Amino acid sequence: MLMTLLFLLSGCVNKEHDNSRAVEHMIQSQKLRLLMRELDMVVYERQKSELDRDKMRKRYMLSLGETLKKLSADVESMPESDLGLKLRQEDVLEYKKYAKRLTQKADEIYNLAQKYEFEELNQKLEDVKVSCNACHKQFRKEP
Amino acid sequence: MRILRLLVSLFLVESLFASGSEIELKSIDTVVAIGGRVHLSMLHTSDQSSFFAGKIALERDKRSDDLSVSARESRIWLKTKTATEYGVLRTLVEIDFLGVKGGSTSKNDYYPRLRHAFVELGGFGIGQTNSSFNSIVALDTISFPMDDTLVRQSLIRYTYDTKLFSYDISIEEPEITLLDQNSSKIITKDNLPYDFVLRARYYPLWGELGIAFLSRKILQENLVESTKDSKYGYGVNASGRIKTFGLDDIRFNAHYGEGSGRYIAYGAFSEGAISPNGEITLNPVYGGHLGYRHFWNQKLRSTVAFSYVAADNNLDILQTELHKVTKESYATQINLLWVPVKNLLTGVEYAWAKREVENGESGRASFLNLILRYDF
Repeated sequence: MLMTLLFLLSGCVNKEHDNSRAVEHMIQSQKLRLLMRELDMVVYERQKSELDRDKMRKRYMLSLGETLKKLSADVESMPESDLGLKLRQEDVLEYKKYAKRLTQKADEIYNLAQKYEFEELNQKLEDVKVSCNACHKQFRKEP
Repeated sequence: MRILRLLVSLFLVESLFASGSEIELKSIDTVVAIGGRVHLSMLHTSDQSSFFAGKIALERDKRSDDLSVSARESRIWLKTKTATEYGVLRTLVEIDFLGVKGGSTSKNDYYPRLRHAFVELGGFGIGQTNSSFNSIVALDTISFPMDDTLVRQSLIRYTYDTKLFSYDISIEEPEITLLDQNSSKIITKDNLPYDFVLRARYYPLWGELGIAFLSRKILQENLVESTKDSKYGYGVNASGRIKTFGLDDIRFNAHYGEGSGRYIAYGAFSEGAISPNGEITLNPVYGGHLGYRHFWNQKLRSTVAFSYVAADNNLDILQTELHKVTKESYATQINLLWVPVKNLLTGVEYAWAKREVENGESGRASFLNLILRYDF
């Protein structure tokens, strides 16, 4: 599920129109992928108590939230020329809504981390995936 | 991990308002999580040694190969979290089955052993858990490195967390072991002052680093008739992980101390020696390990590691039975670990170790360890 999400996130980058926003978007996507894999590896860390592991998970989740926020900022400031031809005003508004949703999810993940609520993380990431999927379907410019 | 959400019914008198006439009742939302690990290991040893710095059999004690299969490292834990006005209150109780062993020829009655019983709130933690002096990162291996710095004990700790740093200060259970002139280990009963640990941890994007300082008082009173002596011991332990490519990393640990023997290598060394007239001298103990972890793909990974540990025992005091006193041990480990499905770990590890004792004798052993482990 996580890999699918990351694949989708990396798809936000338009490869023909390489610009700083797109590159930054890709960097954040890669960082997100590593963080998620590291989060999955916490269970195998030796010589840590479950409370220590939860603290590690909390740190990774806070970083995840932060990275998602950067990602949403990149999405929000992506040039319209990278979003496909013939954009109407309502399309632009719709696009901004997706970016806002990503920020909202980042905040939710951040708040869950503060409360050690790890069991809801997968659902939140699933929500991010759905949001990214819908955004890509509508706005990703085909090369 | 299964979560049981216990919603309340615990009504507590939270506070009395200033008027004195109104009592506010608040409910408590406690989340209880139960989990654990099923761990099956199959260990082949070349001479019935154990893979610990002080337990590699000497040539004189060589015996035949041995194969043991055990599920003793399986564990069960229960943890809770409760939101309070001071933050999240977290507790943990964990046991494994590495306690006293029953008959392995019939029922394999392995008794439960307490690993952790700890409560944390607002940065304060009290109970039994890993010492703050422990390494903050361990090798991703099946067996432990020779210099492993791992102690679990009762302690009181305060932790201050920031985004990139954590600082700990703790007072911990004191235990003292000394060697007498016959190289016999003596556990003193004079553990009045607590061991004191300061630790700093750093969590940059490229890894994690930790350094811990230990201060303790080693004393004896009437261990030798009508004598009394004390010395201040200390230790420094640095450990960390540096990310390299993808998920690959380098993991390391370095330790030096005088009078810190029990914190390293699972009791292979003592804090010091006690002379016939009751005088204590502390042993310098030092060691370290270095390992590289490589991911072949998402499910397959390997670690190759080398570890070393040694002590400068006081041979002016130790006179006899020097074959009981470990001078140095070192080992190499290499493994292949596979995660076929999430939380299921299986793998094989080959390890080779050598130990030398203070009379010049030594022993070598090789180990092949297979595991199957599932965390639930």
